Amino acid sequence: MQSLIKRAGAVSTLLILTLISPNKLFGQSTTNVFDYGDIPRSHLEMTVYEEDPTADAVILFDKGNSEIRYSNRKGFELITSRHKRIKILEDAGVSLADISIRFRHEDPEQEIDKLKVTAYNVIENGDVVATEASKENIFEEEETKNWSVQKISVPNVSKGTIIEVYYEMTMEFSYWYPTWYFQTEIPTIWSEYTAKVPEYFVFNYQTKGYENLFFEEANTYNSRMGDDFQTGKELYFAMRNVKALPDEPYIKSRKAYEARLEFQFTSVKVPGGRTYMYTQGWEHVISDLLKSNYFGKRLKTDNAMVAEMQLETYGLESDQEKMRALYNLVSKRMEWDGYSGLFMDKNTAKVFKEAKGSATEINMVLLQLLKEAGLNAYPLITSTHKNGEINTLLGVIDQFNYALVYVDLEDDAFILDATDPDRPYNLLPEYVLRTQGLLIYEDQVIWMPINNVSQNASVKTVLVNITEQGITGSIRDQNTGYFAKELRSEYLASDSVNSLQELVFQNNSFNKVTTVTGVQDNEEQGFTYQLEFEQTDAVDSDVIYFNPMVVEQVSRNPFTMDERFFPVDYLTPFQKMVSMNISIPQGWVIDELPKPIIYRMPDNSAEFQRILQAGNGAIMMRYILKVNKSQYSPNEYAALKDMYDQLVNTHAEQIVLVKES
Amino acid sequence: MKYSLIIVTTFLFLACTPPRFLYEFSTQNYYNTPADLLDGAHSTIQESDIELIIHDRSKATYRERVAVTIHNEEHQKYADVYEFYDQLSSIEYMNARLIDRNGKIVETYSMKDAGDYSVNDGVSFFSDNRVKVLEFYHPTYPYTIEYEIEKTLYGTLNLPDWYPMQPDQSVVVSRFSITDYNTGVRTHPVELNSEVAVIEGGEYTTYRWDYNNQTAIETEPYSSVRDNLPHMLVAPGEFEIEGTVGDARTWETFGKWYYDLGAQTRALPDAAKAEIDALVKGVENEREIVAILFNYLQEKNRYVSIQLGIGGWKPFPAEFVFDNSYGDCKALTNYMLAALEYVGIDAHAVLINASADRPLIEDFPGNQFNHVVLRVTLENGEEIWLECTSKYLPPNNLGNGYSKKALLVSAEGGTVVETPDVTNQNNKKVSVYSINIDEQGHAKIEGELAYQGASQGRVLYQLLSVSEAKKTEWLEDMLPTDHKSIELADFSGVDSKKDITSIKYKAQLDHYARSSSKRLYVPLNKLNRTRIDFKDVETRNLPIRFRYAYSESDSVLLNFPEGYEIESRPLFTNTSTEFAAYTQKLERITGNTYLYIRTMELKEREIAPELYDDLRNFYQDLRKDDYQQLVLVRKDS
Repeated sequence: MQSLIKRAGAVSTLLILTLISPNKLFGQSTTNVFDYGDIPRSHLEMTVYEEDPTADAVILFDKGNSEIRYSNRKGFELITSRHKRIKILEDAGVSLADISIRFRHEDPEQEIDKLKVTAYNVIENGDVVATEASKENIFEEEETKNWSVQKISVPNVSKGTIIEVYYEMTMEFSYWYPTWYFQTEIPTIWSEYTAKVPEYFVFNYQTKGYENLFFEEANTYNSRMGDDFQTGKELYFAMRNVKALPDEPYIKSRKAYEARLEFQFTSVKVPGGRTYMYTQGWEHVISDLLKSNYFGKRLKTDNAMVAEMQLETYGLESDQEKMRALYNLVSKRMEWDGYSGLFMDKNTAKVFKEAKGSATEINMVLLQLLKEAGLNAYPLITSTHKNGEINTLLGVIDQFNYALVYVDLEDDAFILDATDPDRPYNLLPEYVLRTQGLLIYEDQVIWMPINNVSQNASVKTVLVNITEQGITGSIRDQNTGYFAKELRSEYLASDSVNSLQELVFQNNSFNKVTTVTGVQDNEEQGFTYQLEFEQTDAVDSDVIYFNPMVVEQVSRNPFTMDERFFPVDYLTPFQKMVSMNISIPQGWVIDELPKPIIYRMPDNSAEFQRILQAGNGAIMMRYILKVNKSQYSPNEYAALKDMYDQLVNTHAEQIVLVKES
Repeated sequence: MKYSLIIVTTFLFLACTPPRFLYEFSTQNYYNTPADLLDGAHSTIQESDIELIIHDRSKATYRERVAVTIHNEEHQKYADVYEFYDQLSSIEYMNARLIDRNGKIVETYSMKDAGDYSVNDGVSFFSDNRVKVLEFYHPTYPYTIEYEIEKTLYGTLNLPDWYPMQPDQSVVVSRFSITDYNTGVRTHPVELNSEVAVIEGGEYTTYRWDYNNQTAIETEPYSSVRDNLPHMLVAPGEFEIEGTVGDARTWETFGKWYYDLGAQTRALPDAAKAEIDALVKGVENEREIVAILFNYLQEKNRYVSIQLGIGGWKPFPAEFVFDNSYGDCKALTNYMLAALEYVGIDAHAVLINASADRPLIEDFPGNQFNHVVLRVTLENGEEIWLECTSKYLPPNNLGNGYSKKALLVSAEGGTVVETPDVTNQNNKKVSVYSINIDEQGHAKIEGELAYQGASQGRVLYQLLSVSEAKKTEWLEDMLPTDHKSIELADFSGVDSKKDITSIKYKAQLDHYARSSSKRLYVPLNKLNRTRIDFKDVETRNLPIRFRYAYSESDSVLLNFPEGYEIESRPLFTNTSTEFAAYTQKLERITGNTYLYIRTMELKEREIAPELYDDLRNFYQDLRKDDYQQLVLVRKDS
């Protein structure tokens, strides 16, 4: 989304500033709208936010400012001030008056200063009453070892109140500026961030998300900052009328799509001295990581690991067999603690012994075992969807939060992740699909796309037997890829009849699983089950109505909004097939049969077809739904939504049988 | 963020020596549990020795020594050793070790290894509750965790109860003892028939219970298994907490203690008095005054839960609530009480238990409460109940069915009273629709919904807290088709001052019914279908509990296009039992107009376990009938 940054171009900066001056935006011309306590009447009297009348509250402005101060006593310190005003429009927004500011109380320590919180209310005679939060409204909670929360319960807040918050957060500067979020769960009228960076720091920045910067400017500044006379760059960014973060189905991670600004520092030139590279290009990132106390130096193999490796691979001939055996050992033995993060708390030998660790720790255990078995294996580092996309032009390690294993065999190559025992070696977790991986291979920078390599399909063969007494049937369902994984996880977690009832028919269905007649689970080839079912809502009548979509019925369109802001993420293509044979009772004939339908998206990126044919006391149905793309852009949303409308209509059609007259 | 460069650069590693256990477990081998104790058990308590020593009314020591074998993944959670603490308690030590199936000690931890976190109870914005946790994991089952914990309690109001087992857990040996230095501690067994052994020690008395060789009790859905596990409730006699002294041995004295905590907190500032005076000026009727003041409380304040030390019991002063416009249940109830006292209307706080399904154990006075409401008594004897934490519930509506015994507190002490019952007579939803269906199956619908009683709560909360535009979205989400347009949405009947909440709307719903070239398939009840579906089970041991008893009535006037005739009309099962009943019927009014009527009532909130199959069958019948369709066929086909 780098291209979304709007440059001021030929128009003079001064003119732009006049045009977009927040004062003007807020309908005030004399005072500065950002002065603490100076609240425009229009905001006090506002009852609905016209841009989004559903809003419970709106951020009137949110203003951040980061700068570095140098003092002989404390060295470089990063000071970030935050000034924000929120208008409460409805009771549901009142909970925003319970404010939590999370900060680190050690390692490194962050300090909150100059905290001021005020509630403004218009009383009956039209006067404005300001209530400032005092000690009795402010608490500090030590949440964990390193994190604390400053909690403020703002007094006198109800529908109509404006809450104003100011504070400064100070910490030792460690090549890091906070990420500025322009977009939150409620809409924002104005959000701006100013970053002052002294000239000796080299850095870069990126905007992410699906909102446009309204304004951006860079200037040089000269000023006194603490004990220091500074020259540097002052950057200013602003967005206006930012909508609330949409809540849409089929999305890989809402967090990855939040409109925000991220900074990365690359090096520092000490005045009159040498240059320290915080990072310089990917070669350095790779060699630094291999040397790191929290990565490279944590890669350890002990005798216990060697012994287990030998036991597991004993008698195996090919490298691929060994790889699979070791993958199974690690994925079955190790428990993932749920954390991701690139760096390791413990070395791999200890992680192996404790049998529990973060995703990186578990995968690096696998790496060590594979290497010990003589295979060419390397860490492959990436960023999960939640963590956001990697900018490959910017050589900084902070972008990564996950490590996988890349195995290079003579005739084939594999990317492995051993965090889930229900996933076979050839299936990666969905949250890393379609990301970029950097191979940790000395002296060469190799980027690798991380894609799903297994087929994601479900093929159901269904026999239905309609009699005058009722409807029964059987299903044989072969699943591969993520479909198989889901079935495996759910199936193993509970008893078979109930879990298949939920997975195949969902709750609240009138199709009831009577027996499960077979389950074959071959992790690498797929999950197949066979079951028998009966319909419990049969009615005694002269006419039989039967909806043939006893499985895979889509009864509601998942896409209900008129507009879509974020792409539709399926993460991986899939296909679902049903072939059905319906036998009809003796002496009954078909009165109505749904018409065949073939529907394709304009670019053939998705399609479905359903064909029903009558013949010889039976009806055959063939149904297929294919989604051939992993992601659909908001522009393609209308077509996708239309396909689902057709799908829902088709799936509602019924077969009608009547007695032969 | 678990790792970042900033953080990792300052990591420190401490070399540690394994702590020594103070307690010696007597069991030699954890892996020959008798077969009957393995049946249905995901874990087994091999040995548990729990000790409570009440030194005096202000201080107690609590020790837990437990060896638990985890048989499979389902109970991996019991491998975590944790203990809660707050400003009024401290953990003295915590030792734990993991012993694998070969009897080898794999890992040993002590308190310095424990994670220390603030506890989020899901309700409180801020509290002093914290927890220390030692987490274990082992890849092969079974394995055993041995642990010992000692905690000091500074204050004896809340003494720990004894639960010798968890759901799906069996017990080999379990002991519990209380040593009391003459404070009058009391116990109450629930589903537990252990004999007590009493040892007189002069200055103290020790009570001891054993609970050995017990098979696992299985979890069942729609029930609180915790209330039905064998356990021992413990309550103090004389107690002290943060300098206040009370006696829990009678409801009277316990209620008196609670009353006295709040007695000095109800002074109203002059500004508050002036506001109240202005509101009730010229109003004579007491009931009206209560309604005005309650509405004033609801509009001005918000609920924020802040619990610190005795603040968990003592309300914030009325002045604080007036100045800040917020408070928790105690503070808001106390503030309302202060306002009523000021205008001379009789009212009392009533302690209740809002979450437990268990009724009050009347012959066991003590803290069985977690919430407080207000009971107002008018001069004519009429009672009005107020739920002061709700911004919207009208007077006499306490929300989710508090039909239970509770403790009313006054200057004279506590007395047990009963809160108003929620029944299918006073908790109702009535819907009236008129639906016109065209040949494509599209429907024009006019609806009017009315809610009364406990079922009002959710609707009031969802609708009064949001904007007009969001109210319409709420209605859209409720309507059961993908494509629709709302022509009218009238929420004027959604008003917290009204006893009945009503909503009116007009909408066009595409494909409400389904059409083919010659037929129309018309669902009779697409707007209020039950979602309840009980699974088949072999045996049921625990009662089934619903949120509340209720009744529903739906009338739908259906109008079809010309040129069709009925091909198939449903036959309804219409089941009636002692605990619930429903009826559905369809009748022709004139020409193409039909009337569908559905009534449903759940008469009991709690259903006995032996009625499980009846209950399942009842809801199966209801669900089946809720999905029935009327099929119309073109006359010319």
